[in-house]
Amino acid sequence: MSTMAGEGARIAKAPLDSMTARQKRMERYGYLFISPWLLGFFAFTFIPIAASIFLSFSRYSVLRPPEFIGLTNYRYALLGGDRLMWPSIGRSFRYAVFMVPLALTGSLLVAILLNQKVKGIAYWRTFYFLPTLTPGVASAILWGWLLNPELGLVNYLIGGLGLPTPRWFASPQWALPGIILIGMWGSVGGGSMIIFLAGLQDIPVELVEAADIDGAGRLRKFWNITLPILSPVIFFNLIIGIIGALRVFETAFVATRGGPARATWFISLHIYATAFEYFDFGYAAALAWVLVVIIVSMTVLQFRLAKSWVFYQGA
Amino acid sequence: MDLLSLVASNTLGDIVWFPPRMRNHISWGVLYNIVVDHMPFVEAENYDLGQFFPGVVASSTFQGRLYWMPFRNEGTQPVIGYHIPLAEELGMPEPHDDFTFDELIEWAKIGTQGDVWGYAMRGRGFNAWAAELKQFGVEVIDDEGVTAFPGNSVENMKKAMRYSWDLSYTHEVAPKPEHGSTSELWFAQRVVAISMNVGNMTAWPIQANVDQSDVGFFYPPVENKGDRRRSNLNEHVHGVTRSSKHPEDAWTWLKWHSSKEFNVGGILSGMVGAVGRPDVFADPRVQEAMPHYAKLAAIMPDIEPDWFALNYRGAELETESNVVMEQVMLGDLTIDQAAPLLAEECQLILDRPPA
Repeated sequence: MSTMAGEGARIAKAPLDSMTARQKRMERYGYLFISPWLLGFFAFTFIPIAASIFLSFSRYSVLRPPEFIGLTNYRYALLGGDRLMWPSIGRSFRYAVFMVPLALTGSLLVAILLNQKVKGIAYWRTFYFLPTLTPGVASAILWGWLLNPELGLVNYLIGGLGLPTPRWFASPQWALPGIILIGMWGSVGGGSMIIFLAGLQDIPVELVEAADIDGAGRLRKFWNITLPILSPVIFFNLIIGIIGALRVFETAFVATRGGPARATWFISLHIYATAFEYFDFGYAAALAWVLVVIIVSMTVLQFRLAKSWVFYQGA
Repeated sequence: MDLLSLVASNTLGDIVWFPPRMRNHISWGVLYNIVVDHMPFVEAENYDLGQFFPGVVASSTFQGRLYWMPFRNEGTQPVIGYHIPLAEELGMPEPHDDFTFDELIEWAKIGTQGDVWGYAMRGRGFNAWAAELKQFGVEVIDDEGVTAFPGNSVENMKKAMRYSWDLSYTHEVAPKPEHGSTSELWFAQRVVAISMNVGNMTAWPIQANVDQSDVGFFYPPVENKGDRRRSNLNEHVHGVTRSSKHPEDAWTWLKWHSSKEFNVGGILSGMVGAVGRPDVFADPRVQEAMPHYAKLAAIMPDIEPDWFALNYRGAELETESNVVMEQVMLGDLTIDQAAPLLAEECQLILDRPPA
């Protein structure tokens, strides 16, 4: 039976000048079918990205045409003119340093728990995944109430144990841990956990059985089999986690507006305020590209370091 | 953002609305060329601008050109609202309109009992406590819009900061930062009195489930008895756009929109705020329906235009004020450190080119 997929595979293999009329027609159909996505990609992703490169070298407030000013925006950002930028980046890194390991470890542990053969496991998996389905804004508002220093449930419980109650978003010292707590709630049982779960189910049974025969204990099996085989998955989640953490925005925007005293003024918030509150879109575009360069550099560094600890089966 | 999109796509229509901050609405006439100079309309038909309070006209005028027409105009946080039954229950005497700062603190001390504070300021961004700053002699920007904290303003700012600090820490009559930012829901529940603008006068009692007739109003304090009462203008404006295809018709509509009858009708039908013209406040229908507007009427003749940032970066100044004041109230900065730092940070913002 001839299928579209089979036809597509033949077209992909055929050199352009040797394609039959039918193959060429099928190719045109292919482009036709993906054209809605292509149009959306160009209109809403590619062109804005390209425009933002140009805008980063401009003075632009939306209210008048962009004016090319060369490297002025980048000089202002990188050479200390903007006294908020580097501290904002520092805060984003501080958030990432705590958030990424906690979220990775938490979601791996939850994935291991949800990989057990126990009754009702499908319900448990659903239960743990539910927080991820809550929109970030809604969860930030919810946690804003829970962490209210005076009326919140969290401090009510902590106080009930006779412990000192943090001031959370009213305190510069406790605001960042509060934001991390919200982030953890949304990410421990989220996409990372699902990917870990898939990775765990992909571990060859024969390796585990061989280890059992050799008398290996649970910890030894975890350390010598599970972790090495999961390492590509851990690496993937690490990369995604770092990128996500450095872009932290909505929880801080809703819960603290960057305060108190700029304790949660992350770089994404700085970019947002510059663009949408101060209408300095040109400079905001430059800040965004500085963030892109930092994230790409971090990712390249991770790929280099990965050679020493990521194990690919069959590689 | 909707407005910006319309401007960027040149589909703004005939008239545009704007809520200025530190007179950044002037940029829409001078820098961005979006609204027209309305003075030719005024001169062509001898339209009387004297029907508005002088500060209202001055706020939208730059270098002799009138870029906007008034719509809602009020002093920023020009009154303090208090919950009459709660104040009586706590044994607080009836407040009066010529409190000094010290007298207000003494009054608030009586009401500070248990979980209730006697008084709370609305906030500590420049706009939220402009009335207090003016009374202490603080000018955030000079008249030209280029110098932050001119003259004695840094020293005067220290006095204003000290007052704010004393409310919470020395006399403990107002919430501290650890209690969270000032919330309208506290009004009449956890604070007896709170500084308000016109919108708050109407909205907060409803939100706090308090009957409007239970809310009394008095003026923010002055430094010394007999000091002239000062406040900045907080407003919404409308203007004819440069892209208008019917500028004459748009001007006719604007005149009606800024007229006495439109605004009296608006107030009577529940519109929050009042246009900046004496005859609206003097209208018997308004006086009967909104007796608390009498407090505004008395201060509007002396109302001053908001501080003017020549590079139109007023929103950034506002953020800076909030941050530095948070640091002061959290004890991270001393007042002697904070006032010059705030001046320095504001100057850096004013030295930048317009966006």
